[in-house]
Amino acid sequence: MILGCSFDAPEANKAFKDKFDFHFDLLTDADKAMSIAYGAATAESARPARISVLIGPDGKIVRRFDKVTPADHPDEVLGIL
Amino acid sequence: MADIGENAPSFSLANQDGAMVSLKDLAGKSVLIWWYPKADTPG
Repeated sequence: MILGCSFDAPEANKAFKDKFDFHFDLLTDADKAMSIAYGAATAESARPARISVLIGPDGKIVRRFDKVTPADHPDEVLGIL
Repeated sequence: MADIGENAPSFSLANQDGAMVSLKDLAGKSVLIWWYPKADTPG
């Protein structure tokens, strides 16, 4: 299960998803609270950082990817799963 | 900041269709969350 997240409105995320035919949901973290809790943003952030977090079936954080290189990231994650 | 081995912070956020997605509903699955600065930017 994959989830994308940004501060963008659902309308912008819908356009983004449709344009690239993403097969996963894009979430709107309008008050930034969730992104801050995961370390993807601070209260002062205009935009979240480009990071990823992998959560295990037990609800615990398995891995953090604090420097994501988009082209390499899918293989990196799949190598762990 | 949530670190490795800690419980993932709970959340309930609207998806692109306005439907709420909650982490608690995804229990038992591996979940990868990726943040992006802004919709439809390179990378």
